[in-house]
Amino acid sequence: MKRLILIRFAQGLFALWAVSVIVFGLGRLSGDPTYTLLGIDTTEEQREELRERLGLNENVIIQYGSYVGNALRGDLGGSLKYPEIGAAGAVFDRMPATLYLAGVSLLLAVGIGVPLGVLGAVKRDTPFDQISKVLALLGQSMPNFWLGLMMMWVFAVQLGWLPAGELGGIKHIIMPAVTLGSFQIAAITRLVRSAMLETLDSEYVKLARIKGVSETKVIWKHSLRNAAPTPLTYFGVFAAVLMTGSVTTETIFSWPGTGQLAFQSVIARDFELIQALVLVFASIFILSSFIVDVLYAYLNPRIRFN
Amino acid sequence: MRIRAIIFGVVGLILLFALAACSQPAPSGVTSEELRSVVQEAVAQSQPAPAPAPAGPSADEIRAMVQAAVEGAVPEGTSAEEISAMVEAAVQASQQPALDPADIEKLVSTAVMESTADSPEPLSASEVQGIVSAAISAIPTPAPVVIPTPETVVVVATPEPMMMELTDSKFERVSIALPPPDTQNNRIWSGPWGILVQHDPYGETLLDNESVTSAPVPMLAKGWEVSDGFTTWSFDLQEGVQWDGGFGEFTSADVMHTRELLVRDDSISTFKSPWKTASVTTDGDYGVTFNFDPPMIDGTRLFSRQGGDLIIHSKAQWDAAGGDASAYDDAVAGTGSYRFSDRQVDQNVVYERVDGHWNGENPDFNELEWVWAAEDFTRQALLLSGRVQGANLSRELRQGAKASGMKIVSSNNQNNMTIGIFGGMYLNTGNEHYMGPEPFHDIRVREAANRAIDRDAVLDEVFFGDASPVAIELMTPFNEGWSDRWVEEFDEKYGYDPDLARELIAEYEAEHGDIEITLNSTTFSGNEEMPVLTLILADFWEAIGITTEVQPLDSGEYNRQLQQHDMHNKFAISRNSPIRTVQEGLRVFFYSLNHAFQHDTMDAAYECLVNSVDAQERDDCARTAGDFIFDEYAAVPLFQITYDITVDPVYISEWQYPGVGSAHPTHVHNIRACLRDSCD
Repeated sequence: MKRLILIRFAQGLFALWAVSVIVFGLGRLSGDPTYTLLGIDTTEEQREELRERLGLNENVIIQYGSYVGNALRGDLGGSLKYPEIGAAGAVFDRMPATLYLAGVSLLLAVGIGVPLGVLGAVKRDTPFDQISKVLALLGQSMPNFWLGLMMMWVFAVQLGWLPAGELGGIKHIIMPAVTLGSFQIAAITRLVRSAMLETLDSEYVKLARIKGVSETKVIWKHSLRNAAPTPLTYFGVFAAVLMTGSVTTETIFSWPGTGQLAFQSVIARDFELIQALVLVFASIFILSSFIVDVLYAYLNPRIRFN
Repeated sequence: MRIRAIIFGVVGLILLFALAACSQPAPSGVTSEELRSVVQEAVAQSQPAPAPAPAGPSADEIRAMVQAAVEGAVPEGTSAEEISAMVEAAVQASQQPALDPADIEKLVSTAVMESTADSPEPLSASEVQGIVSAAISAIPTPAPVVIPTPETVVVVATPEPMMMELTDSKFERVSIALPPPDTQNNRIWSGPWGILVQHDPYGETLLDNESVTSAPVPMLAKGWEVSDGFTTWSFDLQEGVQWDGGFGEFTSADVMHTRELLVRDDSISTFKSPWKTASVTTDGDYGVTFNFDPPMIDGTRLFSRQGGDLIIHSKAQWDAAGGDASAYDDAVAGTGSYRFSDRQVDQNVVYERVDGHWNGENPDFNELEWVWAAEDFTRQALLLSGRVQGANLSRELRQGAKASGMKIVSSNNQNNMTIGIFGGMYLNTGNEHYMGPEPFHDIRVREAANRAIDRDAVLDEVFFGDASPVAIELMTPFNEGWSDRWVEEFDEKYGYDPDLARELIAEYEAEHGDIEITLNSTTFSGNEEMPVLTLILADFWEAIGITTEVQPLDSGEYNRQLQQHDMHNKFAISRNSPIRTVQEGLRVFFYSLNHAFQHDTMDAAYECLVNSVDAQERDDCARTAGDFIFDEYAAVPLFQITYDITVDPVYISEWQYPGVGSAHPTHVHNIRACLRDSCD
């Protein structure tokens, strides 16, 4: 087990390094940020001055070395958009909003997706199952920008029930969370349904029924527990996706999280901020995969001993 | 109530028509005296008849009243049909609710400005203001309605419309949704001038721009003097202006300090270069002098918000914080009629009203809030759901908002000129970027490209009629070098003629082969129509035989190609916003160190403007440049637009702002509350 953890940890570090190289390289390839920042009024002299200040005239290798050195000391660089707090400050300032949104979306996805999936499998081929399948299909095929805009139009503009966006209390979170969670609700519904169908057909479930165990216990205890690993694996990835923010949802709803930050930093070619965001996002993914791997190994001895 | 509404409506409309009549272009121009007499005559004619019967005037009576006024006010030569149409429109409009004084003032102001545009001797701001004030004060107050009875005469006052007090919670805060600026902080030097939207409410400049005319007028400087061939700009500063937050009195040290902020090493402010060419000296606490090298012809723009960013900041606050760049981060002191209150990054900025502003500015709302929303649709939803009372919307979404009862408040002056740039025109002597003949080098192709465009259709379909055609790039009647010839000959030289365009292209292609052009497409805040416009131009050009490819680009790459002379066989729609002086426009769009149509003639014209302080010589050089642009089809002139905010008339009655700055509104103290149920 210890060896497995060490190997996974080393792989994680390697992945992080690879990400830093790729994002640094792409950042430089995407063009000169001074053209975005300074517009067409400014003189070439001003542009050159800014390049100098940002270190863009240095050799790329030197730039990368300095970037890595600073990152190891916890300095993720400056930010053209947020010079007063720097790149790391901008990212971590927005994390709470993203985590809030991600948490509620996760709750929705699990709270709706799991029961729908279970009941769909139990009531297989009934109208309930058909409806849940249609809902799952819709959830996975509707673009969330469209869903967000439609919800905003109906519930904020026409009915006036919910605010049209912005960070705030319970009412503010409903539409962004549903928009962000809709795909995940659908995905969890389908995963749970198919896993449950498999377990409901298994010998031990049949035995439990023969033994006279109540149907509720058979479904929610014996079947669901055994069907859980597949959705749980997905859940790990899904949590990482949500924690890194949703560009579309956060932008539509003016949600001041990392997703919107990513969008704005790309538009502004704030390359140091983009690097910081990608590095933080990659770290979250790697950490989440690492935890899932370890948990999986813990739950499944075959992986542990192989 | 109904009678009063009709009287008000008729009075307002008569005034409007009278002033519209004044605005007919007069070959000899309109002097202030003529204008004043026409306005007063129109107003005098609008005196209501003796107390009408309770039923109010009939449509025929209204028609007769309006007819009389219109005939008395329109200039000679107006046809009977035109008068008739005006009368009919007035009669129909008289069924509308009464115009309130604010609406009338705006109508009068607009009409006066239009009518004086051709004046040989431009009126001063005070003359214009005098005319407007005279007109407004002459508007009669309707007499109470008297209802006779057999035995007594009872005077019944006309019911006043429900008027609210400004203490109503409705006026606590006015919120406006805008796209987020490039940087969100209190550091004026941290970004290009688009970021100044967040500094305008609390900050003030040495010179203001008059809200209607945009003319430079005193603000923190009560007077100024230019000498030594535009190299020396001296200002007498206001005395007794206090910084909020207890940072003492505004002095010349604050002006010096602000200029130093803008030229800091880490400054990326748009006007860093011109400020670096100036040295500043003070003459006591209330005198400051800028010495420029080379001369600063364009100083009234630079020292105001029309083309500048010198929003004065407190040196005392800076020093109190130890002179660190973070001095203003938590709270920034200002002298404006709103003070900075709070900022939630990526969400909003809130400002509080300052009571007893030194210059008498008196905002109606206790708080002003900029709400940042990147998406156009989100801003519309915020407006329609009542979260904000105003929003910057694209023209397309504005139509839906208007259908939902919103109204548009536009800048009083057009500030944004949409233009088409032919790429690869690196034609001045010795230009290293010249790579041999290209299709756009041939004047026939440039003429064809212009004549292929049905500008009327574009105006209707893309701008929803809400724009003005442009006869020539850069040049405007209020800038140096203007020539009426460009307008007079526009139809003849640039008019829509697809057949001729096809012939010209066929002729060129017979000699040089097929034409293939890439159209770069991007979006700038405030010009959301650019990508659609690019697609439409591509369609027009395909129709005359030019093969086109539309290339969407982010604004950085778009700018890079323009500035790095990487525009061979390319075309791009750009904007001149806010509309620059000819000198600055030439520098940005035509001078060979930059981009667009580079030619020895243009270089000479620009250098003449840079070096000359002689008005006549400058005018001649500017006109030479204009003639070249016009006659050589050096660009594709398209449209001029105002900056527009869509507002909820339940909350906002009007907002007078001149249209300066970079694609955002200013003069927030002029956001006026609607004291009735609605002010649409």
